[in-house]
Amino acid sequence: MPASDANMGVRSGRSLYYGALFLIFCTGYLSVQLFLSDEGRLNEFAGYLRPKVGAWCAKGIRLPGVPCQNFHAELLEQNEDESLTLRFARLPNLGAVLDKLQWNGDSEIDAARFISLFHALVGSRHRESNAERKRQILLLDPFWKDYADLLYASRCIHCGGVHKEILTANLRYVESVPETVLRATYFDPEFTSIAIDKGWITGHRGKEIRGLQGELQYTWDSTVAGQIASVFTAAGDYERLREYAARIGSKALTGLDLVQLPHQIVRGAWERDIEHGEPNVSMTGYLMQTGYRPALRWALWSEADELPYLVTRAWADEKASYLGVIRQHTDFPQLKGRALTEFYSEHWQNIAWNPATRKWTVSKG
Amino acid sequence: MAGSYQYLPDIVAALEPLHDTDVQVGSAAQLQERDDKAILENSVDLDVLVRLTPPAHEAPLSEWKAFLRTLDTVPMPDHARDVASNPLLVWYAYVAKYRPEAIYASYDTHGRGSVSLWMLEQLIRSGFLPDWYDHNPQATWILMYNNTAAYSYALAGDEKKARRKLAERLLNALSEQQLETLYIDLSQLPYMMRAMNKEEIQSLVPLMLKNNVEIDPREITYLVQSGHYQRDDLLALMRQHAYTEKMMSSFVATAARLGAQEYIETLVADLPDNARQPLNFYCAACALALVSDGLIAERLVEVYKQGQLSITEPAIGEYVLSSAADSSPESKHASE
Repeated sequence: MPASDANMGVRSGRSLYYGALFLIFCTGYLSVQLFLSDEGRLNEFAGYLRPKVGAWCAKGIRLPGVPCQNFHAELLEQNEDESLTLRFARLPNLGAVLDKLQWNGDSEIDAARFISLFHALVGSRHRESNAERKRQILLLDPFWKDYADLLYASRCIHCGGVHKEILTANLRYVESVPETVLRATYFDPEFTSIAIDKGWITGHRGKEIRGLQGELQYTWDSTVAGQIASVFTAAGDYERLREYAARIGSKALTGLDLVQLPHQIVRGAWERDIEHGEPNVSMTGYLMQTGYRPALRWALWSEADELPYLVTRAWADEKASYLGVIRQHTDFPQLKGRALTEFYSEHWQNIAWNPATRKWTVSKG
Repeated sequence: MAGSYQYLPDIVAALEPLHDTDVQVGSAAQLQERDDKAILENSVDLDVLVRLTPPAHEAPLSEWKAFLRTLDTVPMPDHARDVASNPLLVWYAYVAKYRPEAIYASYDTHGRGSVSLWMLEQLIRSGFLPDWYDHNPQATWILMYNNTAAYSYALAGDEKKARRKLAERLLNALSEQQLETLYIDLSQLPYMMRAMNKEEIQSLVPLMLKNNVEIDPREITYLVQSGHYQRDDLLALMRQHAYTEKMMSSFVATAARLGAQEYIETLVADLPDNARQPLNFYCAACALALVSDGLIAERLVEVYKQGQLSITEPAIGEYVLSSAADSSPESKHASE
């Protein structure tokens, strides 16, 4: 190919390249114009940016043209006649309240003020979306770094919610915690698990704390309850396991082989569940097939659900499970509901556990 | 991005907190004033809140105590003072961090001080005040009543010594002439019993019966499970502390198991509507399923309503509910 033709080819390629760039620029420019010229979309975009800007500001990142506010200075600069309480109360929703809050202080007292204000405001607004939840986390999270102890103590921990979420995430993320926070983890068996996993609590002390939790603390988390119980089973301390199971119910036996446990322990856990309104269907089935009559009766009462308030103890979706264990462990006719309880009321004297068939059977009386 | 720069001021303006002009504040001034009054009565006073200033670290104790009293006076609705939602918790923690003596000096068991038992518990749970019991003259009272307090005591030093010391505190408190009611959380008794001898353990219920103590009848189940006490003593304790309302009456099942037949009659009578207690730790059907055999569910209700119900007790704490029209049930009662 002659040189001039080759040059022309290069020039033509470049022109196409610049042309494409110009086209992309124009399309982008027009798209942005179309997008932002709509006021609703502009506000939507600002709403999307708002929490991000708050987070950047909290981290000390400054953007040209976007001011970071010091919440406290701003609040105190308000007109003396203008009540802050009213100004916040008139805001239409939690999102608007959160818009007002932005931490940019640098003293512990200022941090305490912010945390206190935050809880006062958020506590008075009950509805929250997932987005608002995330924004709350973003607003409070920066305090962990320097004021973890105050942040930890600023809300009831066993009440759960955003507060517990923040603490859990931070405890999992950090390498070490202040002494006060470490001590606090002893009081929450779930946090104790994190502290043990992290190596903040080790060896004998870990077992000692778990043992004391088994005697004096409660947990809703069945995995953690199982971890506590495992300290007793490892030590062969079935007396303390029995007491623990009778105190917190079947959660205490999570992960344990019921067959290997003394029967009294399983019964105690099951009965505690019934008395506290947290019946355990699978444990009911287990006890039925050991010949424990109260478990059979409980399954029948619960499956029938004739009495309205029983719904609060044995949930509607559990009825089928109860019927399943009744069918599995009895030779009763294929009845259900009221017909089944009528059958039992009629024949209870002739119903007995048959160890050979491992079923509750009806003898011909 | 291309084309967005000219919109930057608008975006920044939208990023700013909402202005009051954006908010619907109502139309009529009078209406507004009334609304405002209601809002102020039902809100935490934020104007006071954001101006709270604690004393300097080296300030005298009196200033810290005064600060705690100030916290007590921040206007807020009663529900916000509850520990579960109190926005001032962070300030109590601040005081506990820098001047715990102020917390101890402001605590009063009877709620007359600026620091309540629940606030103290929250601070202990949050890792503050690790040796609170060495600074509080009411420590024994708190330890017996509050589970978190007892747990913090158990955590602090030698495990065995702590157990024994706690047991001694209970025994001493029960042996002394009590001027004020001693509330005992019975769920922590098994913990203490491990550090007591047999005589000490067996002395507990008789001492509780004759002393000025307050217990939750639902927790008597822990005494029953220990297997150390006479049935009659436990029933006497149950009757002494029974709740007059049904709301928190899961103890009825425990009493029935101990052989108190009057409670079975109560449970059957409550069966149709559960004594109008939908939840709240009372479930007549649940208790009956545990302790009684024979008639169940609707058939039981029908027979009871017809006045035909017969209650027999073939063994202590095990009942047979049958129709009086039927033949004697004991002879046919299916055993487990």
